[in-house]
Amino acid sequence: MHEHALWRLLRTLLPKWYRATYANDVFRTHLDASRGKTGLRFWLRLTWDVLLTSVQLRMDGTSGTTVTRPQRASPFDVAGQNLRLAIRGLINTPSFTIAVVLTLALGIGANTTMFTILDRLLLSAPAHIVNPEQVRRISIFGKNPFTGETSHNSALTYPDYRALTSVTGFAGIAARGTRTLTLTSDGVSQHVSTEFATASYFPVLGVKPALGRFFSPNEDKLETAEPVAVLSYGFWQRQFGGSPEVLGRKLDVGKGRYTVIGVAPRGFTGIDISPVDFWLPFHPAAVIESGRDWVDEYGWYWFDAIARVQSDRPVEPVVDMATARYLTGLSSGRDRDASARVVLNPLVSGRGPEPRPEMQVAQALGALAFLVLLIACANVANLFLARGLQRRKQYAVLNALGIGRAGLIAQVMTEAFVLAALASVLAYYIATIVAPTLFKVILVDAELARVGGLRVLLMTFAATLITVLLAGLIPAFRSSQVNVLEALRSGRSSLRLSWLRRGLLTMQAALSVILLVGAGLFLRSLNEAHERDLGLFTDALTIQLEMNGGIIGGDELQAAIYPVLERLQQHPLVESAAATSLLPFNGLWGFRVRAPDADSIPRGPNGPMVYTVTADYFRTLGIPLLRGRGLTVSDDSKSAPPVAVISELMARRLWPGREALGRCLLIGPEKPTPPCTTVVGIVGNVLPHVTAKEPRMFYYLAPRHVGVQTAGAQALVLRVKGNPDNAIAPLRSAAQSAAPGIRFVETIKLADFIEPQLRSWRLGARLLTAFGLLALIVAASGLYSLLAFDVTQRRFELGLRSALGAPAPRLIRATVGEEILFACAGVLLGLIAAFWLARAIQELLFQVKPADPMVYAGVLIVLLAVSTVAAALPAWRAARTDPRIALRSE
Amino acid sequence: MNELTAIETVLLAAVSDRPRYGYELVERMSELTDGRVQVRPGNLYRVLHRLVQRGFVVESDVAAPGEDERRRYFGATALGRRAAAAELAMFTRVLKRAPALKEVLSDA
Repeated sequence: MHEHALWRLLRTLLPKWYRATYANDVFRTHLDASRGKTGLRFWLRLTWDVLLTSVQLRMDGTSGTTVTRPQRASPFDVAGQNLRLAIRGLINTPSFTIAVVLTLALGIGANTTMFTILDRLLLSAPAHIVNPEQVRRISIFGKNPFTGETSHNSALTYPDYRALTSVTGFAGIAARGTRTLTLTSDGVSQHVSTEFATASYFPVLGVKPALGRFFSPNEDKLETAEPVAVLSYGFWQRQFGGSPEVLGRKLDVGKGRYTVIGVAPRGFTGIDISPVDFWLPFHPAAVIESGRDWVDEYGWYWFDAIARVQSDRPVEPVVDMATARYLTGLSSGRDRDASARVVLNPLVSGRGPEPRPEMQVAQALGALAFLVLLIACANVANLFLARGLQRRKQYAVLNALGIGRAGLIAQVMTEAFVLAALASVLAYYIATIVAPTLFKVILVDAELARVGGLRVLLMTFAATLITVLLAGLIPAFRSSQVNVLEALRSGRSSLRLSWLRRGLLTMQAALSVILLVGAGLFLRSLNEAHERDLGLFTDALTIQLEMNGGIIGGDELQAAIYPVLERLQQHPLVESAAATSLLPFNGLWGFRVRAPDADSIPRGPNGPMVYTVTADYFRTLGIPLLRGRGLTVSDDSKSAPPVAVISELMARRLWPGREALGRCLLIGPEKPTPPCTTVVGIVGNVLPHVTAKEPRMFYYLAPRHVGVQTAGAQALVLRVKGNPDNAIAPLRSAAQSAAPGIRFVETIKLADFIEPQLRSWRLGARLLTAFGLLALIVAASGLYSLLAFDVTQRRFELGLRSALGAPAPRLIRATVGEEILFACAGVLLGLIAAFWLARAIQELLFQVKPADPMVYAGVLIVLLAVSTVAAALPAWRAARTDPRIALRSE
Repeated sequence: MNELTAIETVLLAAVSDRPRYGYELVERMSELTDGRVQVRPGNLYRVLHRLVQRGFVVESDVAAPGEDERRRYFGATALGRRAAAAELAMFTRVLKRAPALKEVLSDA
């Protein structure tokens, strides 16, 4: 006997008694069948046979004794027999089984994935929080001081918070603000996300440290000699290899030096989902980073607060008291809304009044996943229906032999159950692989702590079962209504498309259109955002600066910047360089601006914003100078006459139809009246942020302009010769050597700096395109299987016609014409529905109208192409049906 | 009860004239059913075992001269032949009604 390792392995699958008695004979017979050749084909057949036989034998029961049917079968036996029949039936039709299982697994897998993500985003509280339903986010419902709109605002000022801490009804209250700071160790800098948290933060949440301890109230005072820090578990693992010796280490974070006293538990990310590397004590950290102005400043909204309510006390009186305290805390004369109320929102951010944009994306994706499932459902229903038709004769005979309708339905449903079990296992695995990745993409770098679990598995199985039952039940009923005589007669009329199948086909096509239109709109958005004229040169390099250690005011930083700028301007790789207060698209800053001879200058969200820039800024970033002159080196001095360059929009708005050059701007506080700043130049418009719909008014001042109170220059922009990517490293080291006291946080291309701001479109476009493709595959395979089945069923008729000399085109039309007609109707319906539904995602779109004709035309072309291919194959088979074969098949 | 499944019936028919070995049986079953029954070897021995247990088939130690000794031959017992015949008679009775029904239909 030829003893092959593979065979020895395969053999072990068979039950012991069978292996001992027959295994060699099975091998021998296969060898005979392949005429002694043991090629790939032989091994495939053998493997398949052994697999199936071992399943069959195990279903037969022990040692192969015959199961004699009892006269009256118990329900349990019937179920077992149904199960066996179902498995046998599915094994015998592998293409049907594979098509159904794959379609379902894709549809359900997409839904399980989205369920897992939405569950984390919208339904579950962050990890490690005790009784999360008692923890509330505090927000103020009233007029937004910036936009003037009435809305929920969670951002607070410190005096607000101080007023709220005197409310007695809370079990605890805590403040927290997040900030990205720079961690420097051994001369290497990296960005870390920190959360400034009051000492009450961890007790309010009920979190226990994984190592060491959290801050005490004493360590969270404004005056703290030795500030402390708590690490996140992930950061501790990554950076310190999880060593307990990290306690007591001193770390340079931002402008301060902190001693590590504890590590937060694994997976704890505070009250939000985005990861945190460090928790710093609120008061000392804020003093170190920003000085002490915020303590009494009513205009500085920079953090938010949470409170734990007492479970045994009503919340309303506490809220009323908080509102009262908040309002009395407002000093008179400030333009704040006196009718504002304090609101306690649930901790789970998705349930709050201010959903994050990621939520919108996730919800849109959830809806799309559901659409994919509907398409899959239609597909599976069609497959079941086709199978039912195929088995008409079988059912008819069974019916005639006295197996009733209930029995038939039970058998079909058992089959559905087996398919659902297979599909849900596959779907579950798809979800456990895809969900964490997708989660990371939706929320930058956030970790999905726990994936899957029994709940998700059960949910998946339930969803699959419901889908299969829905998809299988109608066909089962229809199959059971088989008229024996009609079925045995096997006329072709009974195989025409039923209305049910027509409806399913139409629905499938319509749903695919909706998905594809969604995908198309997002793709167009992305394209728009990419090709957008931002008004400046995005290949410029940017360098962001920060001082090393200690508390150093803006003036010192600014003084340190000039030597760096000069050094870089002389660097051989640099064409031009300039310093600026803010990088473009990186936030806005404004002063109070008046113009004596202009009617009014809008304030708030439409008001003019300032950049303080050095000479060459416009040239470096490619902002065109339209009239007058740019800023020069001599303008950048406290003693120089104050001048400004304004954007074209500002000139047009302030002095419509009149010359703006030479006009006077009053920049700074009302009293004493600041000196006139003369407009000397007008430059092209720039967008305030990458995704802005329109440009905004900007004016540009020299950093040492008299009206500029805060740090004038904090970043550098450079236009380099040659490829900017190659210049990054040499320029960084040149800058470093020019001013060792400065930390050069990031040297990147402006384009790369903008990139993250395009995330939500990119994300939406990618995911929607992926879902669109998924739907297209499912829909196309559905169309294909439908048509292929029809051709097989009508082989007799087609063969006859072909024998009688019908030309191929007519045969093709006869075969797939009707299906194509209904698919087209579905496409039309889908276009109308998509047109109507697209308005719902308008907010997520960028510069693309929901009714973009390009998208609709594109979808139409893609769908027509796909359905043509899906229809062409079976039609081609139909056209070349050999009459002899076809006629014999009956 | 001498109920037989379809494949059991075909297998009994295949071994009823003379004892046959594995591949021969696969071929014979296919031949008897116009190629409609393509039994997998694994399944063949599974069904054979069932029939042996019920006394319908016995392993025959008479190998035809010149045949490979390692091949195992199986043949039908008298009981097996009777059971197969009874099963087929039952089928025939059921199917005999079919042409009549068909006629009624085409007249209607």
